[in-house]
Amino acid sequence: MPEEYVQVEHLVKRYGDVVAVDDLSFSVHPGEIFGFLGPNGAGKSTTINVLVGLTKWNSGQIRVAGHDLAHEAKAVKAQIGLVPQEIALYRNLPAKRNVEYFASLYGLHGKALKEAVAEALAFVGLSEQADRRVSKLSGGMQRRLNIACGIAHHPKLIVMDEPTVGVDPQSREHILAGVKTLRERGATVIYTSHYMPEVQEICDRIAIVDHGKLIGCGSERELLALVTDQKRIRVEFAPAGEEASAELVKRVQLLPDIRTAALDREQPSLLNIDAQVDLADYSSILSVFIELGLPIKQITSEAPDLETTFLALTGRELRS
Amino acid sequence: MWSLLKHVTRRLLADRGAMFFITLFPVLMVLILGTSLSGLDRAEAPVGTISALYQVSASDPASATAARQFAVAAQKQGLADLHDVKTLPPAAAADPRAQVADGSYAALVDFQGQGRIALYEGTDGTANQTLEAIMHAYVNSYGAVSEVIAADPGSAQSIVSKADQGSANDAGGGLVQTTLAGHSRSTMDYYAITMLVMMLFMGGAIGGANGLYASRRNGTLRRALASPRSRLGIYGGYLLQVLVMNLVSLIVIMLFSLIFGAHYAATVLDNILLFVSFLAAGMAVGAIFIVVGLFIRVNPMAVVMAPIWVLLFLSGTMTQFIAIPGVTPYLPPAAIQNAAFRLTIFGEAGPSLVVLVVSLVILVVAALVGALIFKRKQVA
Repeated sequence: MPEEYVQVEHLVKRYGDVVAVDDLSFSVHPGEIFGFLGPNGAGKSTTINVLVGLTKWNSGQIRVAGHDLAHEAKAVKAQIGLVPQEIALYRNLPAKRNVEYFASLYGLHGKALKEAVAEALAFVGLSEQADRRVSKLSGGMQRRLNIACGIAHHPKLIVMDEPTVGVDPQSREHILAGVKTLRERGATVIYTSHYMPEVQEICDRIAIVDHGKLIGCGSERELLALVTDQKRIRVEFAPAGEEASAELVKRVQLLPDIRTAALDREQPSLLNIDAQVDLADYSSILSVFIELGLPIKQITSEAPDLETTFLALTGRELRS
Repeated sequence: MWSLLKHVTRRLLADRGAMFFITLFPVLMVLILGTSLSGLDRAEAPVGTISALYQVSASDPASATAARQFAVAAQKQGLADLHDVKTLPPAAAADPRAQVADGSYAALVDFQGQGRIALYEGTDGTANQTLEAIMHAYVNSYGAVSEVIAADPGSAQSIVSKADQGSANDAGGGLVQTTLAGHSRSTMDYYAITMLVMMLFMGGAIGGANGLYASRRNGTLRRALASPRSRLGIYGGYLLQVLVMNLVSLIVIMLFSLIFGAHYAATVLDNILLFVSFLAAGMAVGAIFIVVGLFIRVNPMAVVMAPIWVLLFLSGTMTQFIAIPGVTPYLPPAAIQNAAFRLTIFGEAGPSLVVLVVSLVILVVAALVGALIFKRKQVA
């Protein structure tokens, strides 16, 4: 097995004048779960499409398992199992017929095909639903079946494009546990997601892309080290009106050493402030609260997490 | 290939909408048309008595005699009752058309000589059609006999004696001898052919365009293209899908229309030619619409059906009464169904062979163009 299972070097993909992927380089180690993060329009899907052989690229080199995608596309594709973001299934066919068809595209047939289908369905916990039409399965089951169709042929590299979108917590746990199991069995996984906790939970290394460029790549610890000059301050205050809260955010944002300030989405009486790490004196922040007559309940300060790192690196929230 | 065929067939069988469209829908059409229209071609309804005026304005003696002879022959055959012949009062005779206009008589038949008849019709549609049919027959017979006599004056006596025999005894030869072209034809025969044409166009268009469109929409095409299977192989799967759909559709319609009394060609070979030419035409339509399916961004049912229906309507597929001179014969559905009629009714294989060859050429060209686009275009 090559030292790097996937090697992408100086990848460029243009759509007319728009540069979707701009000189992107990264590598994926064998047997790791590699997170691929980026806001919408960052070039993430384009990169995935190029990698799985769906889209031609303008320049750069891609090697998978030692094969050059430009010249050995068939050999590369044979290594890959794609789990697309959309539920790409034939809704009128039973679950097992879907898995059977997609596995057969990889050359499986006869007894080997039957065994692979049964194994894949068992892996995603759908053995008992094998004969049910896809249209009769729940959304979570369809997601799991979507995965079964991508892994039945035992691919060495599994590309999962947001496989947990719209699923219930139980199915999500099932899927995440399955991804870890695939890694334990020796598969290499490229995993894209909008859910930061998922990425933190299962990925060994993470690449962050934005505007088609690689912003950062490494383990969680390595990425956090990229933004050590920042910390998050949380100020919980007594519930106030919308006008006062808006004024609060506006004034705090104008303070020196403050990068961003925003009300928490779930708790509007919580102000999240990303500030320079060397900001030790909170008096300027407190004075704004006093001026606006907003009583403070609690102040906490914490080291940056992956979410703040992402924000710091891209200037955007992951789901923006 | 075998696994792809199995998959395509399974998908078709599992698709209730498609199965309804290619099996139940035509069966229902056959059932409805078979029971409601099969009696249309039997003129069993009594026309009743038609009171018509007739006058002989021909000046030459031969034409005047011919007109009177026609009246006598019509009397002998029971077509007209000359016992009720009345001489009109002078005022009415001066303007017989007024008698028709005021409803006193159904029509005025004016024998003008040289086989020319002026028919002044009234308002009774049934009477008009009946008289038109009788007069057409007269004019045609007159023209045919005149042609024969002009070419061979000696045959005049023979024709007259044959005509006499015919009027005396219907079964005994007569002036015109009729033979059936293999079968006693019915309206169902017409509808069986037109329904096949209708299905191969609608099924081919929808099957071709929708197969690719749906795969692009639901992501299954993207998934297939990510596999090591060649793009051409995947494209071939869509052609295979159209083939299976056409086969099922043709077999179902032919079998059920046979049950309902339709007749196709007289020989096995001609029937095979009919089937193969229809299949090739259906595949050509499907191959063209697969190319459409590569580009279309909305549900093909919404955009493809309307022009296909118009095309079929203008081709006389929906009803034989629709035909635009100079246009209809050149429309593909009309050309295909006319070729089929010539094969099934007259046993003429030529037009169907032309349909077969042209369809195969279109199929190959459309398949090659589609394959080229499929290979180069980002389709998923």
